[in-house]
Order: sequence, then structure tokens, then C-alpha cells
Amino acid sequence: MNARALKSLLYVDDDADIREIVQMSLTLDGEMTVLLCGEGEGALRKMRDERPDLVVLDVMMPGMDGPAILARMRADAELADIPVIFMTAKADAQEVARFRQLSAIGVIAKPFDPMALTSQVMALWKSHHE
Amino acid sequence: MNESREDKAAAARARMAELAEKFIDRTRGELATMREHLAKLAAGDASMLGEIHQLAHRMAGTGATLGLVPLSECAAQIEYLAEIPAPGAVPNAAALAQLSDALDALEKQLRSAAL
Repeated sequence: MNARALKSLLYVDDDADIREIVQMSLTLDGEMTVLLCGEGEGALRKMRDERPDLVVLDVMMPGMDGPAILARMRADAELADIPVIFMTAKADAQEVARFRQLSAIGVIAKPFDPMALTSQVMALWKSHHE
Repeated sequence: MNESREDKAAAARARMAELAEKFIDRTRGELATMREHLAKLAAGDASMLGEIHQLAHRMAGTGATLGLVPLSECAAQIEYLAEIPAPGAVPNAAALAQLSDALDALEKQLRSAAL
């Protein structure tokens, strides 16, 4: 299966600095629209309004954490088919397996290299569509 | 005029340097908050351990992404020490002393980061 173009992405993280760095990183190549949100309910609303191609979730957030947001997405017919990537400081094999079992298409370890983030996201996007 | 990737990367690096300075300033305030939380924890408020953990977790992650590795490592040590052993449990005196030492180490690191 050919990978369709990744045109828009929603990044969800409670840390405003990381949100800004992710946006700068993913727009270096100028092809992608990067939407941002700092908390779960707002993120779910934004997904319904904007229909991003991909959602990237920080795992540990106050209130609704990344896995809880994913569970809400999968239980919502409108959002169930949007692929999700997790970003986490705890990206050991056991955690990666757990996140994949939750239906995430991949995991990106924190801290990430801002200059290489796009290629990490694109690699997971392409492997999901293979 | 379209910016090249190199121009954008240079701008991103400059912005990250600004964010790193702001992060160091903010971390000073959060260190004071964590010391207040530790005092309340020592007085029996078990909920403060989670507050310390949350602050340290964010500090460790953001610091590392901004390239402030020693500072991030200090925060990661606090995060590790603030892992909640059991719901409602207050750490014993030795564990509280370890947390206090870890906050001192973070303060030392903040002083050297500001030089």
C-alpha cells in the first residue's frame, strides 16, 4: 500500500515549550500543518473539527493522559481511525509493546532531536501504510 | 520569499536558546515550589509527592529536549525519588532527606547553568 501524504498532524502535550519545539521541528520542511493542544478534551474537540491525518500524544499529562485520550478516540466512531503516535521518556521495549497493543502505530522517545523529528514521524507514518 | 530549511533550522535553534533561558528562570520558581511541597509532604500531606513528581517529570523532559542535560538529569533523579510507593504513603525520613538532597543538587546545577 502506498503511503498517502501526511498533510496535517495534531500534537498534544501539556508543556508549552515542547509544543512550540515540536511545531518548529515539524514545519522545517514546510509541508505539514501542525496543530497543537495542551489537554485532552480540547484535543478531542480539535480532532473532530480539524480531522488531522495523524495525532501525536505525550503519554504523561495531568488530567487525561495520552493512553486515556487514545481510548476515547477508539471509542468514538468519528475519531477511531486516526493513527496515533506516542511520545514518552519511558520508551523501553515493554512500554512500546504496551502502546502498540493500545493501537498506537509507534512510539518516539523523549528527549527527541528537533532536527530529526520529521524523519522519525515520517518513518512511522510510512511503515503504518506499508 | 520562501525560507530555506537551513534558515528555518537556524531560526529554530535561536528560538530554542531563548526557550532554554526562560526554562532556567522558570525552573528556579518551580524549585521553590518543590521545596514548599516537600515541607508539606514532611508534615504529612502525601498528595505533595505526586505534585513534586509531575513538576520534576516535565522539568526533566523539557530540559533534555532543550539540551540542558545535567539539569535534566537532576530533575530526573527527583522524579525517580518521587515515584509514589503506595497511594497515600508518606516517604520515611531517609527518603525525604534524599529528596531534599536532590533538590539541593538541582539548585547547584541551576546556579552553574546561569553562569
